[in-house]
Amino acid sequence: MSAMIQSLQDNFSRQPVAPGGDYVHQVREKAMKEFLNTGLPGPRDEYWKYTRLRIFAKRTFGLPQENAITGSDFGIKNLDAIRIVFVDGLYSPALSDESAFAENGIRLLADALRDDSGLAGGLLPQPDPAIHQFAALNRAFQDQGVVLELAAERELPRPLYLLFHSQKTGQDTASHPRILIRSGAGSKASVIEHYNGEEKTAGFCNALTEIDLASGAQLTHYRIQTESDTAFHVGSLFARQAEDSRLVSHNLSLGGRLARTNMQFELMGRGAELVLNGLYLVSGKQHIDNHTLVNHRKPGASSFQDYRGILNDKARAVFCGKAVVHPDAQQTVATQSNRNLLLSHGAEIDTQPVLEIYADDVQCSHGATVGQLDTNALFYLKTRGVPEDEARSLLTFAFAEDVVLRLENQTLRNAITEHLIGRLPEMKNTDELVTT
Amino acid sequence: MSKQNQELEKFVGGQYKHGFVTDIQSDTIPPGLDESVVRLVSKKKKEPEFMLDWRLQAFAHWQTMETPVWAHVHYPPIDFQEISYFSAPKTPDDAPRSLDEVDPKLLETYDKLGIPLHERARLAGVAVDAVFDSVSVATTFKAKLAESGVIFCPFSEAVREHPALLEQYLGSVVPYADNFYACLNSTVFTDGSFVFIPKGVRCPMELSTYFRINEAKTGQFERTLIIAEEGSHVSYLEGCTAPMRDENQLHAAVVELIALDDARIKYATVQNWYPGDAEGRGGIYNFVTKRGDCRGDNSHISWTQVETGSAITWKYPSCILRGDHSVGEFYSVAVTNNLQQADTGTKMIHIGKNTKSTIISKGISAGRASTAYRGLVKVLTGATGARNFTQCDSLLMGDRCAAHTFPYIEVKEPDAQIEHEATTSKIGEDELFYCRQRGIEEEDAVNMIVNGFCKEVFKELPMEFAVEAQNLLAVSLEGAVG
Repeated sequence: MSAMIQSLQDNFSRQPVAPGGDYVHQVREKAMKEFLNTGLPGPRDEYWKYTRLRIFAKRTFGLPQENAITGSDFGIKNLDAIRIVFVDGLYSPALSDESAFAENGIRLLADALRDDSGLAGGLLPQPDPAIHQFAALNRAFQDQGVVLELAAERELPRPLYLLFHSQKTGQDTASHPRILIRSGAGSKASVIEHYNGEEKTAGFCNALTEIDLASGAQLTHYRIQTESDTAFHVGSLFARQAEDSRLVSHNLSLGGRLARTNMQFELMGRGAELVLNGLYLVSGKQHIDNHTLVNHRKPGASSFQDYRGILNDKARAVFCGKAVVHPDAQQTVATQSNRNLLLSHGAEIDTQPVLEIYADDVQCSHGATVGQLDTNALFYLKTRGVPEDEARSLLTFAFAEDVVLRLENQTLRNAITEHLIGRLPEMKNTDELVTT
Repeated sequence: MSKQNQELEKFVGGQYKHGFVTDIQSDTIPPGLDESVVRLVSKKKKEPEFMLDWRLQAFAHWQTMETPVWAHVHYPPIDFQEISYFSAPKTPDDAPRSLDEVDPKLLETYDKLGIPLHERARLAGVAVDAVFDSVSVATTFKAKLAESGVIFCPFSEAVREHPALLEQYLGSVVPYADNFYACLNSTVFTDGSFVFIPKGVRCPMELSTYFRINEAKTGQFERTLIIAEEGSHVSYLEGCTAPMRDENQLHAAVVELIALDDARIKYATVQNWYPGDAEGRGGIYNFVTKRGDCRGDNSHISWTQVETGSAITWKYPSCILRGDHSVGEFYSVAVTNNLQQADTGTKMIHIGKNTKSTIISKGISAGRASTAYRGLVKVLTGATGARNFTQCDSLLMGDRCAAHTFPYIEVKEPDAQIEHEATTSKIGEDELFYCRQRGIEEEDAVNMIVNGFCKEVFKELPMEFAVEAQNLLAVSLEGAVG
C-alpha cells in the first residue's frame, strides 16, 4: 500500500464525526471501501494513461487543522459576490458573507447534511467508483463544502464566490471540498470556484462539484485553479441538464504540480445547451490533465467545447475530450476543439479528442492542433520594433485571450489577464498593449 | 490456410496432370496448438533451423500473453485450441464442380463488379482443375520481374531460397512479441508474399497477390515482407474486390514493409471477405498487424485501404518515420453494413527530422454497423520539423449505426505541427434531394454521394482498382438506404 493511501486511511479513522448522523456515517464508510477497492490509478489504467501519480503516492497528507489566518484579502480582489471562504480546508466564518446565505438558498454542507442526511449520496446517480475513485474519496470525507439550492424562477443577485485557500502552514493536508448545486426550473446563477494556494504549499485538494439543472435553468460555472506549483489537485465535476437548460463551464487550470480535472456532463433534454471553455497554462515541471466527457442522451441538445493549452519549460499537459451521442439522441450538435501551443523543448502535450456516435442525424466535429507561434506574425511585430521576447509573449497572450474574453465577469477577466501577464516572460513591458 | 496453400500449390504446380494423388488425410493436424504443432508446421515447410527457432520463441512468448480486449468491437471469445493450424484443404468433392453450382447471389455480385468470366470460377472456389487461365499470365510476369532483379515469391519459397534476407529482415518491423495476434502469426504462419526490390530498381509493374493466388492461396495466418532497397520503387496490391470463398473465420496476418534511403513503397489493400449475413451470423474476423518502417532518409511509405468485408476488421497500418525527411501516408475507406464492425486507423511515429505524415480516413456506417477510427500520432523528442495532417470523416446511414473517433496525439517536440480534424454527419438530405430532382434514382444518388465522399482515398488506388472499388462500395451499401 502506498504511503499516500496509508495516510488517507489514517485520516479517515481520525476524522470528525459525520454531520447528519448514522446515515452519513454509512455513506462515508461505503465510499471509503470503494476508494480502497480501486486504489490509486496505475500505469495500465486507460483513463489515466498519461498521468502517473508516482510522486504523490509516496507523500503523506494530514487532516485539515485550524490555523491562524494571516490575511483577510485572499482570492480575487474587488469581486462583487457572495463570498464563502475556506482556509486550509476549513470553513472560515470571519471571511464569509454568512448574512446572505439564507435568503439565497445557500447552506454549508455540514448544516445541509444535518437537515437532510439524504444529501450525503449527492444530487446525481453515483459515478462508477472503478473510474471515479477520487469522487468516492470525496464522499468518504464529506464535511466541508457548500450546497446551493435555487428555487424555480429565482435569480442569484450576485455571483457565489467559493474560495478554497491554502496558507503556508506546517503540515501538508488533504482536503475534500464538496459543492452541490441544484437549480430550479428557470432559475439563473453564477458560481465561481477558486482553488488558490500560497507559494510552496504542498497539500492535496480533492474537490467535487455536482450540478443539477432543471428545465430552463441557467448556470455559469467557473472553475479557477491557481494552486502553488508544488500542490496536488484533483477536481471532479458532474452535471445533469434537463431540457432547455444552459450550462457554461469555464475551466482555468493554471496551478498545481499535478492537477487533474474529470468533468462529466449529461444532456438529458431537448434544447439543453452546454458550453465548455477551458485554458491550461503549464510551466516548470507542472503536469495538468483535463478530462471531459459529454453524454448526449436525448435528442436535440448541443454542446460546444473549446480547450486551449500553453506549454512551457519541461511541463506536460493532457487533454481528453469525449463526446458520446447515445442511440436515439438525434439532432445533436457537438463540436470540440483543442488547440495547443508548445513553446519549449522538453514540454509534452498528449491530446485525445474522442467522438462516439450511435445516432445518424447529428452534426459532430472535432479538431486538435499542436503548433508554435505564427512566424509571420512574429516577423510582423519585429518589423514594428517589438523585441522578439516581447513579441512572443504578446502572441502567446493573444492565443489565450480568446478563452479569457469568454469569461462574462469583468472583474474576473481582469484578474485572469493579470495572472497571465505575470506568467509570461517579458510581458510586463508590453502590458499597455493589452486592453482589459 | 497453410495446408491449403501447400496443397493448392501442388495441384497447380504440376501434380494435377497426373491426378489427385496426395494423401490428404495424413496431412491434417487435429485442432489445437502446442510445440509439436509448431515443429510440424516448420518441418512441412522444409524450413531452415533459424526459422523454427524463431517460431518456437514466438510460441513461448505467445503463451504468456492475454487476448487483447481494448478495441471497440464485440465478439464471442475465440478458443485458440479449436483451430486447426495446419489443415488440409477441403477435398475437391466438397467444392462446387462448376459455376452452375455456385450460389446465384454470388454470381450476381460478380456481374455487378464486372469480374471477367474466367476469374469468377476461381473466386467462387470452384475446384482448381477447372480454373487455369491466369497461370500463364503469372508466368509471363515472373520472367519480366526476374529480368530486373525483383524477387516476388511465396513466403515459404523465400524462406528456403533467400534465408539470409529473411534472417536479416523478418520481425525487424513487427517483432514476434509485438502483440497477441502478431505473436500467434509468428508462431504458425504458413505462407504469404515476399518482395525484394534491389537498389535503384523501379519495379516494372504493379505487384499483386491477385496474380500469385493460384500458386499459394491466401490463408489464415499470412505473412508478407516487402523490402525496398536504396532508391527503389514498388507498388503492391493486396486482395481483390470480389468476395472470396473462405473457410477460415479468424485471419491474423502480419505485413512488414522496409524502405531504405530514397525508397518508396505503395501498399494498397482491397478487402472484401465474407461479412456474415444480415443478422451478423458468420463472417470473417480480420485481425491484422501492418507496419512500415521508413528506415532510410527520404523514404516514403503509403498505405491505401478499402475495407468493405469481414464481420470484424481490426487493424492499424502504421509508419515508423525513422529516416530524416521520410514520409508516411494513410488513406482509408472503411464501409460497414448490417452488423459489421470495424476498428481501424493508423499510427504515425515521427522519429527522424522533417518527417511528414498524412492521414485521410473515411468511415461509412450503415444498418446496425459500427466503424471506429483509432489513430496515434506521436512525435518524439528530436523529431524537429515534424508535420502531420489528419482528417477523419464519418458518414452515417441509418439511425442504428455508429461511428467513433479515437485519436491519440502525443507531442514531445515544440517544433512539430500537428493538425487533426474530424466530422461526423449523415448523408446530406439536400444533396440527395438535388440528385433525385435531376431524375437520379435514390440508390444511384447515394452511390454518387458516397463516392464523392471517398474520392480523396480512391484517387490513391491504382486506376483499374479505383473503378472496381467504386462498384464495390455500391454493392456493400446495397439496401442501406430507402
